[in-house]
Amino acid sequence: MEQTQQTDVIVTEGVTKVYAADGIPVNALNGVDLTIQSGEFTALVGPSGSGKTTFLNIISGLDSPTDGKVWLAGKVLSEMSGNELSDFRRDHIGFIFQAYNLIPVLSVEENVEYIMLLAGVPKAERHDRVIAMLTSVGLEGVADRMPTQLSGGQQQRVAIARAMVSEPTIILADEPTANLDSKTGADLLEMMHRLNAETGMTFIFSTHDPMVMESAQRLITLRDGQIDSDETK
Amino acid sequence: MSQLTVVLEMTRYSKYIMGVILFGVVVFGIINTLFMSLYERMFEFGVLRAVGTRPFGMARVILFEAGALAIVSIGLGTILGFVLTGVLAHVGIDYTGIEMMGVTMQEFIYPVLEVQQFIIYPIWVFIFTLIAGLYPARHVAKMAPVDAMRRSF
Ligand SMILES: Nc1ncnc2c1ncn2[C@@H]1O[C@H](COP(=O)(O)OP(=O)(O)O)[C@@H](O)[C@H]1O
Ligand SMILES: [Mg+2]
Repeated sequence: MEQTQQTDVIVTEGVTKVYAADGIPVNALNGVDLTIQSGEFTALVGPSGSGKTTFLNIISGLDSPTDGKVWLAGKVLSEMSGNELSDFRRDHIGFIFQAYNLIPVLSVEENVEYIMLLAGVPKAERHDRVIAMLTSVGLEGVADRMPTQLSGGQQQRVAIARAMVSEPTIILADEPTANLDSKTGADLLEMMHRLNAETGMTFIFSTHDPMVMESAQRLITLRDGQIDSDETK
Repeated sequence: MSQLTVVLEMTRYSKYIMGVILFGVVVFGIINTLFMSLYERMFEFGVLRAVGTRPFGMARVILFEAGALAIVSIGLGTILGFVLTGVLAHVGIDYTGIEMMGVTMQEFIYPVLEVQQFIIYPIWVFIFTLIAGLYPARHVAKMAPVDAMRRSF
C-alpha cells in the first residue's frame, strides 16, 4: 500500500448500536473507533453476530448509530437530510451484497446503469460506461440478458459492475463470496484486487472466507461489537 | 305522475350512495393492491433506496403504478360500460310487473348512454386512485433501507 496521498474516507468515533427488538436490548456495536483511508483493501472479520453487517450499514448511512459519529468523505452522516444522504450514497458508495441483489425485472445493462441514471448521466455515456465496465469484470455480451439467465458468479460480477461503474469513493461488500463456490469466489476476489489497484477505490468487505482474509491488506477483527484486533500487512 | 318523480328522485339518490360505496371499495382495493405489490418487492425497493434513490423517487414509483392502474382500469371499465349499456339500450331491461313505491313498471327500460358519464367518472377514478396511492407512496418514502432489506445487508 502506498502511503502517499491518502485521505481518511471513513472515520468512526465511539460508534454504538443497540437494537431494541422485542424489548430486549442487543448491543451490536460497543464504541467502534476506526479510520479507513483511501485505497485500502480491508476485510472485516469476526464470528457471526459480531456486528460486521451492522457496522457496514452504519458507515454507509443505511442505518444510524445509537451513539457515536461517522464521517464519510469528510461529512458527518447524522447531519444529512434524507435526500442528501441518498445522493451521498449514490455518489460515494458502491454496494455489493451477499445475495447479489440485482433488480430481477431489469436487464443487466439497466441494473448497471441505474445509479448513473439517478445521477443524470446522458444515455450514450451510460451505455459506453456500462459496456466498458462489464468488459472489465469479464462479462462481454450479456448486457441485454436478464439477471436470472446468469449464474451466481456472473450475477455477482454484475453486482460488482453496478457498484463500481459510477466510480464511488468506497465499495462496501457484505460477505460477497459467501454464496459462491471457492473457484468463482477466488476469481472474483482477484478481480476486485485488480480493480482496487487500477482505480484506487477503497474496498471494505466483511467475510468469513479465509481466502478473502488472506488477500486483504488490512484485517479488522470484530468481537462482540468491539474491535478485537487490527492488523495491516 | 308525482310518484314517478319521487321514484326518479330516489333513483338518483341511491345512485349517489352506490357511487360513494363503490368508490370506497375501489379506494380500499387500490391501497390493498399497491401495498401487496409493494411488499412482494420490498427487498428490491430496499436495494433501490440503498444505492441512492431519493425518498421521493421511491414514492414516485408507487404513484406511477397507481396512475397506470387507474388508466388500465378506466380503459377496461369504459369499454365494458359502453358495450354493456349499448347492448342493453338495444334489448332493454325487463322490469315489467316490478313495483317500486307504488308505481308498477309496464315496459322495458332502455338505458341511455350519457357521454358525460364516460368523462366525469374516469376523471374521478383517476384522481381517487392517485389519492389512494399517496398512502403507500408515503410508506415507501419513509421506509428505512435496512428495514426493507432485512434479509441481507
Ligand atoms: N434488526 C435487528 N434487530 C435486533 N438485533 C439485531 C438486528 N440486526 C442485528 N442484530 C443483532 O446484532 C448483533 C450483530 O449482528 P450483525 O451485525 O448482523 O453481525 P454479523 O454481520 O457480524 O453476523 C447480533 O447479535 C444480531 O443478532
Ligand atoms: Mg452479517
